Amino acid sequence: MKTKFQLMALTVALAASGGAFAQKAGSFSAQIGATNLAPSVSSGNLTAPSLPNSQATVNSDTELTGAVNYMLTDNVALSVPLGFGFKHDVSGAGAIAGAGTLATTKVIPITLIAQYRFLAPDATFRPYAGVGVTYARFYDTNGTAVLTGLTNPGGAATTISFQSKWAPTIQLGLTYNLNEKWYLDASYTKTFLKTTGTLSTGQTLDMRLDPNSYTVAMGYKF
Amino acid sequence: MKRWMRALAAVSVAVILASCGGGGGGVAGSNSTGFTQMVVFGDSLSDIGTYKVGTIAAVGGGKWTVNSPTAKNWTELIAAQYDLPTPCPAQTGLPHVLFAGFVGAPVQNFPDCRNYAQGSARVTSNFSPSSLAVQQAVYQAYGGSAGDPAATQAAASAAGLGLMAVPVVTQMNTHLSNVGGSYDGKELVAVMAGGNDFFMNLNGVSAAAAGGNGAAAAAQFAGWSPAVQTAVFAGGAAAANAAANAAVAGMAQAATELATDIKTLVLAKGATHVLVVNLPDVTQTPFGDTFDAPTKSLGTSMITAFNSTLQTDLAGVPGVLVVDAYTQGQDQTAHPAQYSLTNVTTPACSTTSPANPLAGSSLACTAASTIPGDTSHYQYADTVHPTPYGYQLLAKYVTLKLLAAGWQ
Repeated sequence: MKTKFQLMALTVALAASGGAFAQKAGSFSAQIGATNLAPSVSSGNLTAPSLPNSQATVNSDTELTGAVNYMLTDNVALSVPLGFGFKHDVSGAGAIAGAGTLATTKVIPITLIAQYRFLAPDATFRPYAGVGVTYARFYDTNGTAVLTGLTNPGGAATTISFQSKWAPTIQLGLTYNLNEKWYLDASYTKTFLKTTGTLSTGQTLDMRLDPNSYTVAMGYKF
Repeated sequence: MKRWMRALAAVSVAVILASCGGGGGGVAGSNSTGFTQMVVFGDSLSDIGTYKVGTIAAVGGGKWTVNSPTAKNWTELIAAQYDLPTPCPAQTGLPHVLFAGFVGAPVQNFPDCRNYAQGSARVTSNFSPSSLAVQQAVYQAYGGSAGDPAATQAAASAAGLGLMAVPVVTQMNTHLSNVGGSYDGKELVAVMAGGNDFFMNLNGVSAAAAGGNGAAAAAQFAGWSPAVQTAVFAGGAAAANAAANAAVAGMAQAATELATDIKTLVLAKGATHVLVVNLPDVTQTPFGDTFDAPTKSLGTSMITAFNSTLQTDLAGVPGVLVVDAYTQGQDQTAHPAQYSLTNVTTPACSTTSPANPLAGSSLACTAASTIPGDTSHYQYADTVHPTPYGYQLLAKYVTLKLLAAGWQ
């Protein structure tokens, strides 16, 4: 939470300082907004011992996000989206649907995207497409009593961790330049992410998360 | 410019609030239904030490599994999972053992303990396998003389352990008298029975063809009508046929009685959460593996009669959750690797180990009396009872069904 306020303060400070530049080669821009991270889950089966087709699903989360962009040329940009940790519930699916939340986890997607921004630097609307790479870092993963109940009832609490992974990322977006400095930005990002959950019982669960990210943001050009 | 900044700040604050408000807490305790204790009615599959006395306690036995200090019955695992008080047996003892050198103990009641399940218990009848009631009936057949060596030998052969085997209906009544006649609605009540009704009915079928007093006595113990008792006394194919029909009907009747007991002695007395586990497929146990094809087929009919009647009689009854251990057990037998089971046909308990005074019965089986090799992931301890791992698999399945029903 503190970090979020600090970033807001930073953004506001940057906003107060800058002179006006177009979105052209050599310029920086920074933006802040909100991202909805919605996994499109295709779950494997929890390994033995388990009920056949014991699977899991992951809910979406919306968080404050930012991004810093640098124009290499008038049309090619490097974008570094900044997230602060998305929190997700991992719930039972398949044969264990309805059991409830198996685990909670947080993930920071660290992404570098190369974008091609169409049209001229001073165009009002600038659509763009990007391709990049994401390192999805999972942390603070906690198994619940439900997970223990399904894997080791009445015994030691079952813990779980998800493997942090590199994943390719593609992006489509649109920038609307409000004026010389301020712009609105909307983007869709798809990350092709597979991970494996490992339980303290020795069981594993492969999951293809392939999250869809929807971001709206407001940005400022330096 | 300032306006945009204010708008940005407002959006950001809203996002921050949303991200803090969603998805917090709620994962620590599984027991949000508010259960305060677990009350257990049933037979050996739920018994946690009714007969853990005398010689059985001395060898480290007492539960119907591969006993060890850490071996837990499924009911104990569920209680622990729900953070409920550790259950204890409501009655202990073994008052009239007829085996030479085998020490029993007088019956003792523990009115504060809530596990009433007793090995060998039937739904309604006292005439259970190895039971005191059968033992006494044999004595009576010999003129009621306890000093008669022939009578003692016959009684020992029929039911030497003399298990109390208090039937489930009596267990339920005992609980009511222990708690002043009613439940407070915060109990997780577990009921699992029917296996011993199966054994006594099947015993009646086995004895029928031979006819005579043996067949008639087995029919009486099974609980069949005087007409069927007369029919089996005659022996032959007609007797076997009558017995088979009576056995299927007897199982259905046991299920009806169990369902009625649950409604009148549990739910009507204030219980709100009654977990009913149906009868596993005994024909797929090592005991069932010894059946010939007609017996296996009859066994399936008997178990199906019990389970379908139980399901029908309890369908839609508020506060009842029926868990299908029958189908789940079949899946474990069909796909052992899926459940990390290494053996679903061989009992882990040795029938010849001198460390087990009951020749392979899980009641007196410990790690010191299992067969050679790693039996930790065997399904069966003896010919019908699960290993601790088997009980854990049952507990997992029951937990899933409890969670899915919202009993969490």
